[in-house]
Amino acid sequence: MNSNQQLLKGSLSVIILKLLEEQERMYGYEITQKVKALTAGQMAITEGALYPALHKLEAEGLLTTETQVVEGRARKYYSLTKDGHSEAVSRISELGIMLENLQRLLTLKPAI
Amino acid sequence: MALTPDQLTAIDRHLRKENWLLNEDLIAELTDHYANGIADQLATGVPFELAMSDIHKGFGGRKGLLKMEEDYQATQAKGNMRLLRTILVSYFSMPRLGITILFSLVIYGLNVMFPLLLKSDYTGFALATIAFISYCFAFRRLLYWNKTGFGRNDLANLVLQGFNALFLSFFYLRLFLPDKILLNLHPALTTLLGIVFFLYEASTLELLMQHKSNRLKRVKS
Repeated sequence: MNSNQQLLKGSLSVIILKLLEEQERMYGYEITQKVKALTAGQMAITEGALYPALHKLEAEGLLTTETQVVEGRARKYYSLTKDGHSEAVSRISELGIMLENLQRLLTLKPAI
Repeated sequence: MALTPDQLTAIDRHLRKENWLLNEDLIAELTDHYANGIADQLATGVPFELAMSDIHKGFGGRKGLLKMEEDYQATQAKGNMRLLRTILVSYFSMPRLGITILFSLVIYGLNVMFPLLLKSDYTGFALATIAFISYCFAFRRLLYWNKTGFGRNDLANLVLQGFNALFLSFFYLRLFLPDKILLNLHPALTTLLGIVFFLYEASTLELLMQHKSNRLKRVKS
């Protein structure tokens, strides 16, 4: 696993919550494609990381699911619950603060 | 590019036979993922087998898929317990608190007025019918759980089922107690037993109905 993927895995739940805040409901494959498109292919979510994250968020009560038959097969859509909406705001804000701090540390000028 | 029925069958065989997956819900979700991924790759000229192998790698191969299934069942069981707790608690807050109070009053009243109500022929027949129907549902529920892996091997679920079975045994044992002992039992005890039984059954039923309705909502697409 390269460092990019490690960073991505750590913030995967926040990415999912953010995407579902923007779009009312999404299915697994759609999420992987959306991330790829938004980052111009720089970031790719592996299936092995995405689905456990989705299932965990569902079990925590932050996501709810609805299955529909599309093109003759079942498709499971995920959307945010009421708790999921408030948790999304809080987690996005936490990640934002962490990134700001990280940015500060990375641009630190060496002491003369 | 839409996949052919043969290609969809190949995906199903890949997941069930070659990768040993059993959970129906997970298989359905992964089939859709494979189908979407393969369709996109076919559109760019990649052969079917190569596209399927590429997606399989993304899941971490067979080992990754089996681990995912194990984790899925564990998280599902946790989620179900959380939901069951939420439903049970809802019977102690408005507006459902009204149902709990009304039900308690009815059972208490019946027990005070007719202490031997449970032993009458009519009540016995009605209870036997309800018990028969509920055990039919329970049997179907067990079959469904076994098929989908819903809470399978989950200790908490087993404990709850065991508790419910034990509780039912105590509840129905009352029917066989001598009148003398039955008349000496405080109505509050019977009311408590009745209300716990009612709340547990109503909550479990609601949980199963929610699970079922989430599983498949057919739409015209």
